[in-house]
Amino acid sequence: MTAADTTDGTVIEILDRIDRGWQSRSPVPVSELIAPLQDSFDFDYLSEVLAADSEWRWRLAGFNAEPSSEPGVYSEADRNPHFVEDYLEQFPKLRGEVSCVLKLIESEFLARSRWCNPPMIAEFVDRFDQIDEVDQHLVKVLDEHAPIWVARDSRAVSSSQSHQFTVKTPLIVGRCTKEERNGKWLTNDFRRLIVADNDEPGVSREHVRITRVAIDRVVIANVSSQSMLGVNGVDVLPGSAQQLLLPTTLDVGPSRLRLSVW
Amino acid sequence: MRPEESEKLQHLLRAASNGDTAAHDALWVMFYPKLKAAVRYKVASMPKLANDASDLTSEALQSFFRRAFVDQEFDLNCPNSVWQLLKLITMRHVNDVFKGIKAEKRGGAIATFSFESLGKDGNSGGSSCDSSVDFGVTVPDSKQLEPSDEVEWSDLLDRLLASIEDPTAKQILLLRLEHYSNSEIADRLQISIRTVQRHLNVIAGLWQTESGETL
Repeated sequence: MTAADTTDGTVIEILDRIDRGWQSRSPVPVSELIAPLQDSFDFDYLSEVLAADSEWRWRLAGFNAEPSSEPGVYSEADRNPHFVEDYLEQFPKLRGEVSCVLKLIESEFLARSRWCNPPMIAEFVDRFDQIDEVDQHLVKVLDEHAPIWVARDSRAVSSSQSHQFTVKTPLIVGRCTKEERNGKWLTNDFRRLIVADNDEPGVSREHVRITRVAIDRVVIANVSSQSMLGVNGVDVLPGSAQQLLLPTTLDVGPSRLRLSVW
Repeated sequence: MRPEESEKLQHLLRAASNGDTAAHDALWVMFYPKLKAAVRYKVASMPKLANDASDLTSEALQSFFRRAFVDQEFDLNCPNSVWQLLKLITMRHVNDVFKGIKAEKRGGAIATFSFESLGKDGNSGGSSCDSSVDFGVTVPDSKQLEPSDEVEWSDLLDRLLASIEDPTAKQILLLRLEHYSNSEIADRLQISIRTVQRHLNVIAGLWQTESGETL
């Protein structure tokens, strides 16, 4: 690494130490890891240490088997997953640092999504109702770490056209506008999927809104005024919405969309 | 490459272009060992391909010979660029084979994943199934790249890899290039996602230095 990365280098060193500790089944206590901070209070460093600690604890809690082939066993204390609130109680100064709290929230959310029963975003919004950015932040985290993968097939028997995309949420699906008539299926911001030509009957310009509510769940809303939407073969009326587990299949006009987690 | 080596290579390339099979053999002998070493390094982190280095190297060399001497697709007047071109074709072949294996695992769809999390926090981006690799900058679809651009990009990547001393960081970058997500990398290397992300932040900085691109 270059000398310019001193801060990153220091944090990486400590993260490597945390990883090695958990891999060898003798995790280094957080108090020992933050001892070098002494009187100074480096929030970035502290939140990285706590986020990694949180991730390993949730990872261990979610594993049926030991995550390492090293000899030895984890103690009961190591197996005890920590919620964000546990860390905030231990380090109350962190409460005022929204970016650090968001990092801890992200770590718990991702680890539980990946290795335990996936939590809903709404759970974190409720738990941290004083922080406005939680919902938006976790949607962004999912878009980055586990985006929705859309395979679009034509429903016409004569066509074998197929396109695949990763998208961002909230995603609007609909027919193209005059301005969009350039052969694109996905707009540059990855938030609008075009599934039909401008003159396609039965498809609105804004037909379906797809919102992420957990790593494996979306809310599908038929936002058109009069067009139908097929969800797993069942019609969804205009104005109504459903929460669905991924993977799922939507029929919008001439297109069939298969949604799954990348 | 020394001037006499460059001259010898140019002579062999010209002869091979004219159908001289001895020149073909000589080029094969010249490039095969070096190329195989590069492939073995590349597939070290791909368990499913680890034993296929010889086949992959042969296939790539054959492809190069066909494209260079039968289809005459490349301008071979600059012998110094041949190695880069060969390496690029080979690495792409390895990646394509690996993508095929991954696609089978994932149920048939061949896709690539963009490198949005290499960028700074909040600099995310989605991806289509173009062959794009986004280090916070967008690399064009490889099918649309001119060979000279491909070599330039390959060089840039080589320089990036060479500038990374930390073996974990190097592994992370290689896995990212092989379309693993951050959490998959964390699983494979038995490290935390935070560690992966932090390394990628540093790599993004190095990429910026090497490429001169602003994130």
